[in-house]
Amino acid sequence: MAARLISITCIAFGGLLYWAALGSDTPKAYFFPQMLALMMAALGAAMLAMDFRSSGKPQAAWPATQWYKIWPGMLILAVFMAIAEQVGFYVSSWLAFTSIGVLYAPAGDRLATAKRCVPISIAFLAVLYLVFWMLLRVQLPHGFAF
Amino acid sequence: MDFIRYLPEIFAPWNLLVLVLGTAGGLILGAAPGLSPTMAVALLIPFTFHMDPVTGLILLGAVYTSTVAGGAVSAILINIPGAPANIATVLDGHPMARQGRAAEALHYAFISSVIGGVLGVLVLIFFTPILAEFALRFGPSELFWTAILGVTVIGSLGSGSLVKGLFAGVFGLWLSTVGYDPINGVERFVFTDHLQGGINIIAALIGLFAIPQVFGMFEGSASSQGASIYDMENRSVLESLRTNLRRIKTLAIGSIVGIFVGLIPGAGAQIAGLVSYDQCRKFSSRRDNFGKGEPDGVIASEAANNAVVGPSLVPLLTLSIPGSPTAAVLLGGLLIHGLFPGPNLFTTHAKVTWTFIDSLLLGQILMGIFGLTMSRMSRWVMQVPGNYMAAAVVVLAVFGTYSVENSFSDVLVMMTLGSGMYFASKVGFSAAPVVLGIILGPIAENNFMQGRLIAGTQNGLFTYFCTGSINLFLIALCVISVGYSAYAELRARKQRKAQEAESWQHA
Repeated sequence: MAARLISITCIAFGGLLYWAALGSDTPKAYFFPQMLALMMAALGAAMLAMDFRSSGKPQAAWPATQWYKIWPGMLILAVFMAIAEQVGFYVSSWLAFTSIGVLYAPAGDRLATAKRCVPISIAFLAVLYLVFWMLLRVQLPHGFAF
Repeated sequence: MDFIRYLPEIFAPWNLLVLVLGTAGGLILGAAPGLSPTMAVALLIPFTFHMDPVTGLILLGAVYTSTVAGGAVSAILINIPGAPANIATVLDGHPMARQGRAAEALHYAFISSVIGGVLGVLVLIFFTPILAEFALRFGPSELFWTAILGVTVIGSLGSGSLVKGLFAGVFGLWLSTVGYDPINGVERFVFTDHLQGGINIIAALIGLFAIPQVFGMFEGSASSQGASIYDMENRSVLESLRTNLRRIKTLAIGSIVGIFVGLIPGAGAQIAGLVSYDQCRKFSSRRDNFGKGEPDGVIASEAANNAVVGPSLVPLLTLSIPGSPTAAVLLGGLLIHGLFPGPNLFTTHAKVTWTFIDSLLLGQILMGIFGLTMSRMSRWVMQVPGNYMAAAVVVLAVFGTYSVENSFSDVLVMMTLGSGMYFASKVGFSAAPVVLGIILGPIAENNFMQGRLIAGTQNGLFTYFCTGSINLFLIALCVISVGYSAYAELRARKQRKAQEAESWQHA
């Protein structure tokens, strides 16, 4: 069932992109993307046909997503992206590094892990600061907190 | 002999320093489980953006070479390949470590890596100019088919599923059309302000290769914690060198297989290692010892995976078709320095190109020296916990992506593509065809549109694109790569069915 859903999503995606390429004032500019969108829809249809042909036969299982393990990480990344420009790259990166370091540490004393993680993350960010600011002269957004 | 003429360039102090640091750093990165060579090169590209092209490419080449070899350390000591290229090394390398022969296995791994790697780079040196000369005959139709061939080959041979691989390749081509149309100057598919400049290649490379691995680390799949690391015995390097050189047949099989697989676009070092291991076992008089700690297993696998490095750059530097996913990332590195594969590389940019190739040769030798002396230290790298590794990769990916064009939109694009790729990889799609599609998309589109204009003044589109010996040859290669993959998939399915029927009968 999951395979069929993916095939249908691929067909719909190709169709959607084809539709997005229609109705432009300069159709010439959309000729190549339209061909690609049609190809995607055709490949999606081929996936669906193959799935119908092999229905009833055992399929190789896909690895399951361990949601309970990845959602905290995804949340950290989402917050990191949301605050990076306002707070500043260095401070928000430090927060993201420390959160990931503490949250995904092997089971044990969280406080001890945090105590270990804080200096490591500061040292890592200090090295990045030296590389990006001193060596590469890249100006990163400082926000209100650096 | 241009490669000799430009050899002194590597010994410029800054270039030599970068080569040494890149090789040493690459070995350490390669030894860390979960950090693949492709991701290491992708993360490094933004740093090279601020260097001059020669130095930047030397760094990327050194890291590419040494991460492949460094992966053998974790394969041997903790039974986890540092990179997919080292999967075959695990089969005999780890049993050797369990028998108290870890240092011996590491010596064989690095010595054979150097021999295979040097032979591979020699193929690159002598084959590339010939093929580049040939590429001069290419017009828009041939260049269009070359780009399509690149996507087709990586989509079909480099992916688990033919249709999904091709879909990913076409999706990558479509992604390259986001932003300004190069011919009409019209904005296309700019659904949000963040997409106004199109998809930045480096942002896409980093996102597609690094972020899924970070999620993998979150899931704990790449964690080395809990694995036991075996101690290393005292063993003379000279003794290992003598033994290794006596196994000339294994070295030859490994290197030849690696060179041929490297020349096939899209195949990569993982296939080379496994094919070479299998062939060596077939031809060996000690075939029963394979899988139980046979040195030939380590030698064959490591000679092959490092022999891939040089040849995988032959189709890349001449025709823009990478021989492996890491070579595809390296193509991104060339493009950001304004270097476009083809004959021009060896004429207009001869200094950059030949210094880069020469550095690969010297890098192989340095990698051997460092590998043999640093392998004792590498065991500490493997103890870096996965949580710190994931955190460091995330921050590096964000900083690196931003630094290319000082654009936060690129960072958002990188994160979105990477997260999407993680879920897509769960259902059988792979990142390499998408990346190649993004890189080759503009080449395919520009040449297709130019070809259309030319065809309008000649005998029509079909005649222009589908006649001529080079066009027909390239189309045939596309058909063969798709046909072969379809055949291989059908055969694998039949084998699975037969195995299932057999297990039913036994039950």
